[in-house]
Amino acid sequence: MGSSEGDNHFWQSWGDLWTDESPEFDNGQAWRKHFTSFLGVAPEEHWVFKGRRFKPWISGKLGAPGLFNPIVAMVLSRGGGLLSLYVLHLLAEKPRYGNDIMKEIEVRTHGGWGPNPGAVYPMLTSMEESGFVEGEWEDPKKRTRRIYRLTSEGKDELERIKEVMRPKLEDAIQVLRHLNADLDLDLDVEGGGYA
Amino acid sequence: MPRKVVIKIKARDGAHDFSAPLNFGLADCCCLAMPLDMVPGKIRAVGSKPVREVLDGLEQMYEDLYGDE
Repeated sequence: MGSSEGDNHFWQSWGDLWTDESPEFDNGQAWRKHFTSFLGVAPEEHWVFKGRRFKPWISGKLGAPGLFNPIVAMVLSRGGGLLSLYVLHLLAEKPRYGNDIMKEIEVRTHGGWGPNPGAVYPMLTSMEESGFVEGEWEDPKKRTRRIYRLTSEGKDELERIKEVMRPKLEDAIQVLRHLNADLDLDLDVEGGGYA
Repeated sequence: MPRKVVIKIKARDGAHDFSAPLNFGLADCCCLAMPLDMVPGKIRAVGSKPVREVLDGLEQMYEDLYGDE
């Protein structure tokens, strides 16, 4: 992975910090500092992690920051920020237009994920404003199809996000496997899981 | 008014309590339950999709994102 050079590996360097007994760990500030150092922006300001779902993960107020899985929050919130990661990934392969991206995601996930146009197009606009992609009309006169290509800045951003997300995505798959196994076994889990 | 609620998550080794914000929902509970191998209640679907379908899609995504590494 592009951003995994030595000490800059996000989770490796976070693990090194976690063994520290600094009082900063009491309120999640060390996590926030580490994240900001790695991604160049505070977690709550990062375009992928904005929103209520990520607050417990960002703040670390529920305990160790790693306890909360933002990917699971994304998945159970119908895609959310995971979609942005995947869109950048698809654009890293080749330039694409919006409809192409949506169809490709649906094909690759065997129909499991069908992104909403209302989510994809504003996201592409936002990525373009951030400089992660460049858009160009296929026909400047008709302006019906806008082709997006990943910029070098976008490629760096993709690698950084992939780095941060990988273990969380693996964990998310695990929790869904557990859930699926429980459903198959039809275990009686009383009381639901939340107040 | 209380600013926190206590969430009880049933696990195979018993119940676990968490202190959480009032606006905690099902998704947040799953996030808490996941690393501790707990079961946050009976979840039949994620959004409108069965869990199996969502899992398949997520596994495909993972393979596509990291399969070459």
